Amino acid sequence: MLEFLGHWFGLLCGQDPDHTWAPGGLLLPCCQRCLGLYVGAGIAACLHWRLRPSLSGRFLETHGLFLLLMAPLGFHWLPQGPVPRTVSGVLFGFGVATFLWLPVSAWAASTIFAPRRGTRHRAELTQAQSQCAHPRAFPAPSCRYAIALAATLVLTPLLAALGGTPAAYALSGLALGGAAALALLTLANTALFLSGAIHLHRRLKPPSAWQGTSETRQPGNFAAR
Amino acid sequence: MKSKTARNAVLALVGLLALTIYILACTSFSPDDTKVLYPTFGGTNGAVGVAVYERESGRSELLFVPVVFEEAEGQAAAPQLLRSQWLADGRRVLVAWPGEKNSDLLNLVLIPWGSRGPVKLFSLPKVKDAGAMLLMPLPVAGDRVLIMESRQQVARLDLKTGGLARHSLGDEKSEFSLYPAAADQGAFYLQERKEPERSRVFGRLEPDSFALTPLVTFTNEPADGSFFTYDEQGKRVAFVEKGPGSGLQLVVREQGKPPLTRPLETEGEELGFGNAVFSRKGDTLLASCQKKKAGAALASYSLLEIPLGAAPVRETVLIPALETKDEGVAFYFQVGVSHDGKTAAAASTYLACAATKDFKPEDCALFFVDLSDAKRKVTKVPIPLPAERSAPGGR
Repeated sequence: MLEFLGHWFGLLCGQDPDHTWAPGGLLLPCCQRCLGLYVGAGIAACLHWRLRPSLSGRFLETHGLFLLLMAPLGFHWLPQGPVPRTVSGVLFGFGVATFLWLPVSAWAASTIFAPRRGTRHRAELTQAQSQCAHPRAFPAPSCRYAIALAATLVLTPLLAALGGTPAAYALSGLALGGAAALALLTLANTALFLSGAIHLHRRLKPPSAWQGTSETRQPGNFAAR
Repeated sequence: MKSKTARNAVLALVGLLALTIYILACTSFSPDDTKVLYPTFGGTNGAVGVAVYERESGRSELLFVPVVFEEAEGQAAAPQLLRSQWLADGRRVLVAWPGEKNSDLLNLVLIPWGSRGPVKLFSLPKVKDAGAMLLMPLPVAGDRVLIMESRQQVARLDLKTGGLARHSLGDEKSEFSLYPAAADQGAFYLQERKEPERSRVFGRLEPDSFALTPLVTFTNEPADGSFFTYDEQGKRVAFVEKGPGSGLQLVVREQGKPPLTRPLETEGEELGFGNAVFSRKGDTLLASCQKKKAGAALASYSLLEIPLGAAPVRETVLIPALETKDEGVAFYFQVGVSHDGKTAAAASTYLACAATKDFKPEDCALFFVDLSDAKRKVTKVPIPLPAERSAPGGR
């Protein structure tokens, strides 16, 4: 399994063995930073799907910061090490997954999760109730999201450093899941973009293009038999 | 609503762009896989230098040539035994070579690559049998290189400041050798204990404190001409010892586990090894090998892939028949493996120096073996021969 994953991750990762975790003596299929990226992205995608935290301005700003953090570490402006690489990868993964999730969540909210007539969505009710009870409290889904992010930051390098063979397979599986999640999000965004472009094209096309077609029937076209 | 849609689209684009840039950057961060250091002839008088071969462009650039004339009135230059290696940042090359007349002198030069910077030359006068230090790359930790000045004393040279620190690792009852570790993990050591019992200990040497951490202990006796290698984490060591009968066997030792042995079928041939490395997956050893029939003058030089399981050994012959003036030249032909594990490389420059006049020019080359190809495609980059050449080390 690791050999198969290593072959495919070779397309996405430099796989430098000097910068790759080896729990239980098994080299993982991607480097420390990429492991963090794909594990983080996979977990972030799951959290967005299940918890649907509020994608507020501050939330998005924080995730934008996660993306920017890759610059000083990726260009080696700051000291490197296995844990900083993995942690920066996790944060970057959360940032990428969140930004890619935005258009998908808006589309899902308007189609799949559109509330039924006369009812309110259960999550909206819960959120509204919690905000009424504690108007200054951090929204519950976002709280859980933050806890999950912190857990990912701690557990990923911990498992990679101290875990044995089971950790190697678990982390490889999570990385694969994360890569798949990113691929799906990218495809979804591409589809949404194309759909939006087609819609915009139709709206912008001049009306005269639709006149004089063979299917248009004008009064008096039918000759009396 | 429209502004929110636009915002979402822009941010999604930012995320996609960030991911694309990251992936493109990650796959290009392997400088040692795009450029290869190898020994080559630096001129017509037989001097050996170090060149850099860029795999993408297929071009070579001569980087460094020490020219030491053999005789006061002659024109021939003695080929120096050079050990060249990249430093971890991929921006500097370290070249080491022993003194020509003084075998205890070790010279080092630090050369910037791809950027401007000073070329630094160091000479250490008391490195006992300096040539033997160069059988493996020198251990480098950051900007510091570790050198065994004697079998018990290690010196740590700071390549930035020139500072030299010395430390005694043990007494006359033990002899130490140092081996390189991955870029930011210091060095490994091999301690040969003579008393109270003869044994060998392989472990990690902390470059700052010189603390020794044993990892593997064994009592096996490696055979003459054997390699000694270890995996990335230093948990397993491998070498060749005399097996049952007159054959050889590969031995892999790991602390707390029974030894793994694998007979090496020699079929009446004598085997010598240059070096060996564990494959990226850790289930195969890649070794440079010299093979010749007992009493024969001609030897072949190959890349051996020795699986640690029951699968057969795979041999890729690089030089089918070569006669050398001296015995014991197998260590002149060493193999390196790219970080991605897909390519093995070896240069036959020093074999050309040690060969007789029947040496074929096409056998003097930098060989690349494609390990991802089922047929192990071999690519040769020719190394032009000088008019005159002599054996390295003045032999």
